Amino acid sequence: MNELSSLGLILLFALFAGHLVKFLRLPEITGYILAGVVVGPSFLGWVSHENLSTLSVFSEVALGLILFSLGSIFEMDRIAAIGRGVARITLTESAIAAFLVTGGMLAFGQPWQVSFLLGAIAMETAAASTLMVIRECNANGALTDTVTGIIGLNNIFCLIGFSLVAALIDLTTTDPNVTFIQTLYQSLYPLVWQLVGSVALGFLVGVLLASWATRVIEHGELSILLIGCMLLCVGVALVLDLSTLIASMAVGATLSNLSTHSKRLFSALSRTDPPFYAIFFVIAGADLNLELLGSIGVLGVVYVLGRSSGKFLGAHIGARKAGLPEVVRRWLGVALMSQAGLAIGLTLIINRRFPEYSGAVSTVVLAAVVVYEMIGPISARFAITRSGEAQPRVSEPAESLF
Amino acid sequence: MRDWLSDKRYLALLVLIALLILAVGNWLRPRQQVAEFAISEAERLRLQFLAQQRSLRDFTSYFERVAGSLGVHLVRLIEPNTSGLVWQGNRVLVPGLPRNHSSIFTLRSERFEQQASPSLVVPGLPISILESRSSQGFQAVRGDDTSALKPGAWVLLMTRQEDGSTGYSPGFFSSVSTATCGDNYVKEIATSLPLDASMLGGGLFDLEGHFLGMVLQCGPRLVAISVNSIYFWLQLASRSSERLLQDYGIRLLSLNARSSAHFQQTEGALISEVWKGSPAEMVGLVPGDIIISWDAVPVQKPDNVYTLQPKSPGEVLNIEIIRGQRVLKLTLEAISGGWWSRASSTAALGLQLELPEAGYLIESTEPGSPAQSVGLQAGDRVVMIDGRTVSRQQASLALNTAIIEEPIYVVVSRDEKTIGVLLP
Repeated sequence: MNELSSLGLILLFALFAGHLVKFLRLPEITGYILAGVVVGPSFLGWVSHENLSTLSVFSEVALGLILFSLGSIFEMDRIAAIGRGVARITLTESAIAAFLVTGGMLAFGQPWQVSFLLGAIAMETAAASTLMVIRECNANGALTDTVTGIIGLNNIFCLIGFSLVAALIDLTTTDPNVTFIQTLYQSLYPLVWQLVGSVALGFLVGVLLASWATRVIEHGELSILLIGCMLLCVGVALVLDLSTLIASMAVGATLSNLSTHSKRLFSALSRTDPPFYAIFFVIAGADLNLELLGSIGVLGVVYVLGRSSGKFLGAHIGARKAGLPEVVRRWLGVALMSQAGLAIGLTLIINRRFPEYSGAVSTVVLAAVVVYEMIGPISARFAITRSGEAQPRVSEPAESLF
Repeated sequence: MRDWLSDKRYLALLVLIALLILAVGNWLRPRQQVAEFAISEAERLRLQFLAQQRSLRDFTSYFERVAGSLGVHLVRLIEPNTSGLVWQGNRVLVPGLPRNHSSIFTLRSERFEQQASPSLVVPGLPISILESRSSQGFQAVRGDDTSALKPGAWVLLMTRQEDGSTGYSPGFFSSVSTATCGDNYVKEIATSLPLDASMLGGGLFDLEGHFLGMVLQCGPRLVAISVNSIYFWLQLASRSSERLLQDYGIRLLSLNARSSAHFQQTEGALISEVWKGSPAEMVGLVPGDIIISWDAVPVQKPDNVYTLQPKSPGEVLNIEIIRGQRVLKLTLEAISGGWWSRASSTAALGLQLELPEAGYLIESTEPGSPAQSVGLQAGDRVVMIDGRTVSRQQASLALNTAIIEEPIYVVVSRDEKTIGVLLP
């Protein structure tokens, strides 16, 4: 099957599955992911590995758009209001999850390098799927605000934690030909570059977007401008080895702080992007290798349990310290279970950079991602509906086609 | 906050700073991302191997496709066990056919099996043609000259396997050279492919599907013979002298001054070669006989015979010959296609008689000697001298004392034929 028919199939199948899972009161994106699993190489094989790698460009764009809309939460006024609390909660839940996973791995006899790498990866919470669930539930409230803030920061913390662990591993494997300073430069510079450079790039693209948006009135043109800017941002980030994740968020953050039109832009986005999201999650589902579930083993169970309990516990403690209401304390951890994007990306980096540890790390993380992609969106939706922040979606009146 | 940012000067400053960060940061970036992108040597080799394996697989499937499209040209001859190529219509080119076989052959291809009968079998020629009952499922090969082929070009040697499947081996073309095959010079195609008995009758094709040559038996060797030589042979076989050979198993020579003097006969056609098992041998013709009348037409020279309309199979004709001092009248039956096996076998009893190894073996011929110059070879057996069977002593005496003024006519047996020569 060629790419175009794969794409068509993906979209229609996603729509169908999305309708289907609504009856089961599951989030739409679980339907998309399941649709991906069914049409992907694991099951029916209608969408092949070659198709997936060709379509991955859509994933990049979709992820860029998702993170762009996530970036809108970094509005200055909002940061001033809840920033400190959110940062503290994120730090607590990330640290405890990382601590529990690392400790569990060490207890089960893993080398410290593997344990620390897994600990760093355990911090991550999938931004895309969690954000999509929030959007689907049309949620609004204290829990929603906290969760959106956390998933934005959380990924940055995970990136920092991972870079520090990687630098530590580099420093301990002493190469006599390379000086200490060189090693430090080699392993820590990328972190600094990814943080500062990505923000700089995102800021530039954001300024471009904001200044141009004032001259664009039509909805269609707005979509073109938006997607063009996001493609440019993601593309340049890939060329310069920057983090597409941070750069995309920075675009959103810049826009929401600069432009008075930002609301209009974000609403234009929400009308343009659903097909991209559908493709993104179906591809994510098709990429899931279900066979890995069989090989999850003791380490996988330790990882899943350690991370889940760490997130839950950390969110609870953090929320209490920040003085957030009871409903947030109870449901915050449950909403943070998803794990995908960045975790998968980091295993790819480990494959290249530390091939000696990549076997253990990849097996555990990729198997855990299968679990978390299944339960994560469901638990997030559960938390949001239980907290009472979900609101019925106001469906736009669709004009009749006939 | 927003007011502060909406000041154009501050914004421009920030944009400048961002650009500066990107420029400087990119410049400071570790150039060779060793730690980030290094691939271990083992991994590199594995990837390389995978890529090569992939392209080899592509190659193989490409050959498979070409070979698949060439399958329509190939048949398998069940007995004797060789491949064959569809030549024109329902005619199939096969390696030279053996004689101890009934005149019905079975051809097999991927989908069907059908019967065929010999259409052209010239004694001594390394190729034969069979005619199948129908041309259904056949597609004739498209011959091409090898001159356009560059050394190193890919060629496919195609065969039809015993189970009916198509066999192919890819190789490289290297050159075309001249070789002897039977009594003729032929163009031999040299390739990187080693030839073995299972490839006999197989066709050599280029990747565009042009037929270049065929694997045939030349003496003890297997040789890929070029299309041009095959055309040459087929032309040769259609000459009237060769038709005579196919139909009756004889070759004729015109009488020259020396043979006229020796046989004391000025007119007629001298029989120089008689094939074993042929109609000519059946009626007792031997080399040295001189034909003076063919189907009631007086014969002064071989051309008188060649210009006559050939007889259809089974038709008989009366001939008159001179042997020594006598005139003999004989009746000859034409058997078309040179297929004499039924005539030679004692079919009623179901027996096949092999001739005894008669005559005296010529062990060697000296280079430049009269014997060699008239074409005698080591391995020939002397059967008759001057029309008489001789004892060993008589033979060596005659051969030793023959002089130019008084030549002797020696008949030798070689492989499947008897040949007469005037010595010295």
